[in-house]
Amino acid sequence: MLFKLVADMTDLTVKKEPLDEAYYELGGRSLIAQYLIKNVVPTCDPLGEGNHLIFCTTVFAGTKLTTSNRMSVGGKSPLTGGIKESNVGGYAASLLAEQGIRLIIIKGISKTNDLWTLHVDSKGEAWFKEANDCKGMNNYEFSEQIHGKYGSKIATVSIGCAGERLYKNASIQVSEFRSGHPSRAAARGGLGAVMGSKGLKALVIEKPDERHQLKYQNENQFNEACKTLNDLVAKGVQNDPFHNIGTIATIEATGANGILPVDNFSGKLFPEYRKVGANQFMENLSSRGGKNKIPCQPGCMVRCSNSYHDEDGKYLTSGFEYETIALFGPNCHIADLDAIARMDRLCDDLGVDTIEAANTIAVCMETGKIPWGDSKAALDLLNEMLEGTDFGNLMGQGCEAVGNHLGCKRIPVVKHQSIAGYDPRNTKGTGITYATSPMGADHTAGLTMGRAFDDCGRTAQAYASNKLQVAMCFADSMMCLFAFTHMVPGIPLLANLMAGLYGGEADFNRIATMGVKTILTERAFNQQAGMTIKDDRLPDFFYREKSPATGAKFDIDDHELNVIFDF
Amino acid sequence: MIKVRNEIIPFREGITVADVFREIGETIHPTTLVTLNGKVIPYTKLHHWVLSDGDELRLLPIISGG
Ligand code: SF4
Repeated sequence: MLFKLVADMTDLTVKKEPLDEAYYELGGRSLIAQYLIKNVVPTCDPLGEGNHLIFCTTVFAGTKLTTSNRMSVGGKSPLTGGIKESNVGGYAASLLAEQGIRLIIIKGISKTNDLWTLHVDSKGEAWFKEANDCKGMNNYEFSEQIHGKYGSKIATVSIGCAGERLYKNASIQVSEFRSGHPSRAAARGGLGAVMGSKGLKALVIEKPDERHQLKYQNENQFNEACKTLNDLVAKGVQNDPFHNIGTIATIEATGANGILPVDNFSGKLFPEYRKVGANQFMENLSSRGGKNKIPCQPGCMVRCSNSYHDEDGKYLTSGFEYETIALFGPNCHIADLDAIARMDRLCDDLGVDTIEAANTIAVCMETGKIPWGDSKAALDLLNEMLEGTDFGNLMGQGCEAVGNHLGCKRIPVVKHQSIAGYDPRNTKGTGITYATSPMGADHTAGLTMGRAFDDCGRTAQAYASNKLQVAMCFADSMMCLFAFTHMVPGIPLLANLMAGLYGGEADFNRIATMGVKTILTERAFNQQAGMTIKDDRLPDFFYREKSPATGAKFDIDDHELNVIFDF
Repeated sequence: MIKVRNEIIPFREGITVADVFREIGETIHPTTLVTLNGKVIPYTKLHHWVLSDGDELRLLPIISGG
C-alpha cells in the first residue's frame, strides 16, 4: 500500500492515509494535474487559503528504474496565475519512496505568524515542529543546521527568505544526495511563495528504519523491461556530454547559431560564449578541486550534477546548469563563469529561480539601470533581493514587474513567466512550446532544437512541439528527462513497466493517454483560471524584430498556436 | 579528416553524417542533437548530409536542456 500525507496548516494536523486508488497510476506532473483540477478552485488566490501545495513522487518511484525518484511540486502559481508543476532532483523523493509516501498535500494557512517545518521521521510518523528560530534563514544555513542535527540520512525541502517574503520568483530548494547542499531547485512559477504563504519553512524527511516494499503485479515483467531500459541509459551515458561534462555542454549547441540568448534576447551572437562554455568549466573544475559526474539522487546513471569551486578552491555552488549560465552569462553580456557561479549560489541560498532572476537583471541592463556586462552590478542587484530593499522586493515580483516599472519595451515573458535559455526565433518549435505550454515559458515542456527541418524555419515546428509537449508530460511523471532521453529507443517498454507494477495490459496507449490527458487538464485549469488564447503568444518583439544572427523572426501563424492541442 | 567526439575519421569524397555514425557504431535517433562546426543539423537532414574535409561533429542527446 502507498500513502499520502494530508497536512493542514490551519490546525497543524497531519494525517497519514492510504493513497487514493485513482492516484496509483499517476505520479509527478500527471498526478499534480489531476489533483489540482479536482481540489483547487482555479480562480483562487494562489497565496490564499484555497490553494494547495503538493509534493509528489513519480509513478515508478521506489523501483529500480534509474532516476525514477524525482520530486514534483505543484499548486496554482502566483507568477503565472495558472497551474504549475515544477520538478526537481535531490534526495527527498528517494526518501519519500522509501517511506512509501507518494503524495504530500499542504492545505490551509497558518493562523499565526509562526513558521513550521513538517517532519517525516524514521518511524514513518509525520508531525509539525515550530521553526520560528529559522525565520529569515536562507537555504544553505538551514540545510547545514538540519543536517548537523539529524545526520546525513535526511533530505530537506526548504524555502529561503524569498519564499518567506512571498516573492513570485521564489523557489523551493531540495538537498542533494550525499552533499546535502540545497542546490536542486523546484524553481519555476513561484511555488516557494505558496510554501511561504502557508507558514511552512521546510519538509524534513528522514530515512525510514524499515524500507517500504512495493507490491508488483508481475515483478518479472517489470524487472525485464526495467533492465533493458536501464541498460539503454548505461550505454547512452558513455558518450553523453551531460554525463561527461554537465548541462553546460548545451552551450556548444546553442552558441554559434543564435539560439543562445544574448543581451536580453537580442538575437545576436556572443563571440565570447566559449568563455562560459564546457572547456572553461572543465578547466576550472580540475584546477580548483571541483567535480562533475555527481548524482543528485541515488542510482542516477547520468550524473549531470557538479560541485563548482571558487578561485581559492572553496566550494561555491553545485547543480550549476546551462540555463543559469546562459541567462546570467551571454544574455546579460557577462563572460565570467565565476561571477555567474556566485549569482547561482546567491539565488539557491535566498531561494529564487535563476531563470526569472537572470531575465530580470537583463531587463535592468536593457533599460540602463545597470550597464551591460557588469557582473558586480548584477550581483549587487541580486543582493538587494537578499536584503529586501524596495527595488529588491520589486525584483522578487519577477521580470515582468521590473520591466514594467522601468518602462522596458522588450520583456521576455509568456504567461508572466520568463523565457528560458533558447531564443524562440532560432528554434521556433521551442517558441511554440513557450507560447502554448500551460506552464508558461518553459523549455523543459518541449525543447525542439534540431527536431524539425530547420530550427529557423516554420515547417513541422508545431508538430515537433506538440509531440514533445505530450512526451514531456508523461516523462515528467516518471523520471528525470536526462535519463529518459536515452530510453527513447525502448519507449514502448514503459507500458511493460506499468503493467508489471500495476497490472493490466502492457499497452502504450496507457502512457500516451497520460501525456495527452495531463496537458488537456492543465489547459482546462488555466482556462477556468481566466487565461485565454491571447495568453498563448510570445512577446511582440519576437514577431517584429529579426534576429541579427539568422535574419529570422518568430513568424508562426496564430492559428497554428490556437489548434496545437486539438487532438 | 572528420572529427567526431574524440575520434578522427578519414575524409573521403561524399562521406555523409550517416556514414560517420556507422563508423563510430552510433545509431541516429531523433533525440540525438548533432552539431556540425557548432551549428545544429536538423534531424530530418542528418542521413544525407554530405561532409567536407575538416568538419567537426558533436553529438548531444538533448531532449530538454538543463
Ligand atoms: S541526470 Fe542530473 S538532474 Fe537528472 S537525476 Fe541525474 S543528476 Fe539529477
